[in-house]
Formats: sequence, C-alpha cells, structure tokens
Amino acid sequence: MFCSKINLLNGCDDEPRGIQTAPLRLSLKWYDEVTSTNEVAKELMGDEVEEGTVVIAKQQTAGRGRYANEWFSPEGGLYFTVALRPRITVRHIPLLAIAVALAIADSIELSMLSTTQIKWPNDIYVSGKKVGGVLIDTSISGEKINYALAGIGVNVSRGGEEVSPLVRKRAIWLSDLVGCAPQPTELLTAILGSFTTWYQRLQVMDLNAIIDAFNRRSLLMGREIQAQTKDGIVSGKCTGISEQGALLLRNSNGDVLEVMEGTICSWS
Amino acid sequence: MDIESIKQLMQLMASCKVSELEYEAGDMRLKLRRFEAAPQTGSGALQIVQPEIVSLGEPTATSSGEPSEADYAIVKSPIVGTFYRAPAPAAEPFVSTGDYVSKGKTLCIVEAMKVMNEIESDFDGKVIKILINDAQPVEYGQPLMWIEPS
Repeated sequence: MFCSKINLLNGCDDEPRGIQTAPLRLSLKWYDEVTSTNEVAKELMGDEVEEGTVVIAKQQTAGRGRYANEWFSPEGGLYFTVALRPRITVRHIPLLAIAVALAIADSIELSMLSTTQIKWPNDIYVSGKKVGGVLIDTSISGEKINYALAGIGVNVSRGGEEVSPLVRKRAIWLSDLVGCAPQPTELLTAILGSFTTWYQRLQVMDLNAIIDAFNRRSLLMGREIQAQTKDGIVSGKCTGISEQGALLLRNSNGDVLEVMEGTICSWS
Repeated sequence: MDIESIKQLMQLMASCKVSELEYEAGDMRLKLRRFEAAPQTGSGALQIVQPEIVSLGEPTATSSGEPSEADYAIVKSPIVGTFYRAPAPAAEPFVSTGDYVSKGKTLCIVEAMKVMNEIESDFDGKVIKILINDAQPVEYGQPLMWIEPS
C-alpha cells in the first residue's frame, strides 16, 4: 500500500455557483488486493481518519453489492471507496448515493463518449447493461451520521477473466465498447473530480441540481415500471425522483406513488 | 391506592425514620424515598423533609410478565427502509436479546435505497427486546429495540 494526496477542487466546468463549503481534500491509499475497499475504509474510520480518505484496490477478493451480494472484482476494474463525514440529515443520505452515481455517469460519458444512464437508485448503465455500481455504508447514532463510505465499482476491463453467460447478458465492460477504454486511474481521477462538485452541492442542499441531473440520466424516466415494495407490486409511469431520492410513479388513476424502498422488477 | 393512603405511608416513613419504601399491589407499584435535609446554618435544628415520591404510575411489568417500554431506552429507525439484524444473510446477528452492548456498538442495519445504515447504540446497556423481524420494512421513527441503560 502507498499513499498520495491530491486536491480536486471543482474540477468540472459546471461549478456550483455561490457555494461556500470547505473543499474535499483527498488522501489516496493504494492497495494491490483487498477483501473489499469498504471493509478497509471501515477499519480506517475506526482510527478517526479524515474525510476524503480514498481506498483504491486493483482487485477485491470479496467485493460486495447490496446486502452482501457478490460484486465480481477481477484485476482490470476500478474499485475504490471514499470516506466521508457528510453534514446532512439522515433522511437525505440516499441522495449521497445518487450524487456518487452522477459522478460516475458524468465521467464515463466524458471518457467513452457513450450515453451513460442511471437505473434508480444508483446502478450505472451503458448500452442497456450494467457497467458500474455504488454501495454506501454508513454509521449512524441517533440522528447523527458518524461517517459514510461510498464504495464504487466500475467494469473497466475483465483482464482476461471469463464470465458466465448470465453475467454477460446483464453486465458490460468499458473495454467491450467501441473506442479506447480509459485506464482505471484516469477514470478514478475523473470520478473524484466530478464527485467533489456533486458532494458540495449535496452539502449545501442544492437538491434541484441533483434531482434534475438524475432525471436527465434516468434509465427509467418516462417508462412504465413495476416495482416490488413492502406493499406488494406497484406499477406506474416514472416521473422522476423526490427530494429524498424516492422513485415517483404515476399510476393509472393519476396518483403519484413514492417508492422509498423496493426493487425494480421490469420497465418498458 | 388513593392519595390518603399514600400520605399515611409517608407519615409512617417519617415517624419510623424509614428512608425508602416500595409497595406493590396487583398492577400498582409505588416507590417512596425520604431525604433528610442538611442542618440549616445557624438554626441547629434538624428539618425532616416529607418523603418524596420518585416513582408513581404505570407498572413496569404487565400482568403477563412481559416487559414494557416505560423504563427502557428505545432505539428508533432514523429513516424509512428495511431492517436487518445481521451484516449478511448467513451471518450472526449484530445483537440478540439479553446481550450487553456498549455505546457505539452496531445494533442493526436499516437499508434505504442501497445505502446500508448501521445503527449504533447510544448507550451502554442490555438489549431487552428486538421489536422487528429480520428483513422487514420500517418507517421513520419506528421503535426497533429496547435497551436497559446500565
């Protein structure tokens, strides 16, 4: 493992205007192989590391997605976690995942010149297949967020690894696309630069900017959706997301349903 | 028990110099504690303070013996989501009923939109009751656990 420090201050052309927040100072920690970058970052948070610590690994032996789902993490991909101490309310924490997804989508689109979309809440899609994902782990005491770990995985290259037909049907690697796939480190720099801007917007509750950007990139926007929720399967036309990141569906009666928790079953 | 009966008990405590008394009858539980004031400067007299009722109200145990939430710290969900007792489906739960936990110990996860929120204990204490089944949806502010602070 070796470390480096960089300052990425509002690296995007579209900088938030009139925002006065402390910039995110990034401290990068590089590893050849870890179980998962979120796990390593979690251990570091126990040592009171500063916000902006980034754990990067060439490969993960136990990369994970939602509730311990496996995330295939061979060498050639981009796997990293940003340690954060967001000063937002707990109910807005889902928007952190959306801010991270926006940074990834912006960076991939800029690097590959391929239209990049986000499937609610935070899966990254290119050419109709999943190319990246976000997993946020937080620690909360009462109403206070102690820290948040933004774990990011992007399929850059498989590095010669074989994948099952099922995975190939659903997932894509940037190296599969026409054009020259970026090096993981190039993409890392782009994502961190973009994320710095989106994170600042979140910290000052510039929610309209986040929601508008998400809706423009939404894979589900305007489509007929079926979602499995705690109340059973609900369906309707996607009209965007709420200020807390919930998916908004307009059903056949004209009522708008707010899906805070659920799984997308189908979209057409 | 009516007020007159309580007054009689208080007078009895004062006359017998009993400092603490607990009384239970059916669903009723009463605890009285008597304090003697320090001698007032210059008077030299000992002032006897009437006993103070420190606990009066609903019973802390139901007739079935089940604990109630009156004397416990309640851990509430800070967000709408799904409640998980363990970090992974096959993993051991973070805590079980009867466990002693320290402040900062992870009690559970509430997942909201792929954000896994680990809920920490605000207290040192004992887990009295876990109110939600694993993988069940929870609302904002919904009680999740009772903890008896130590």
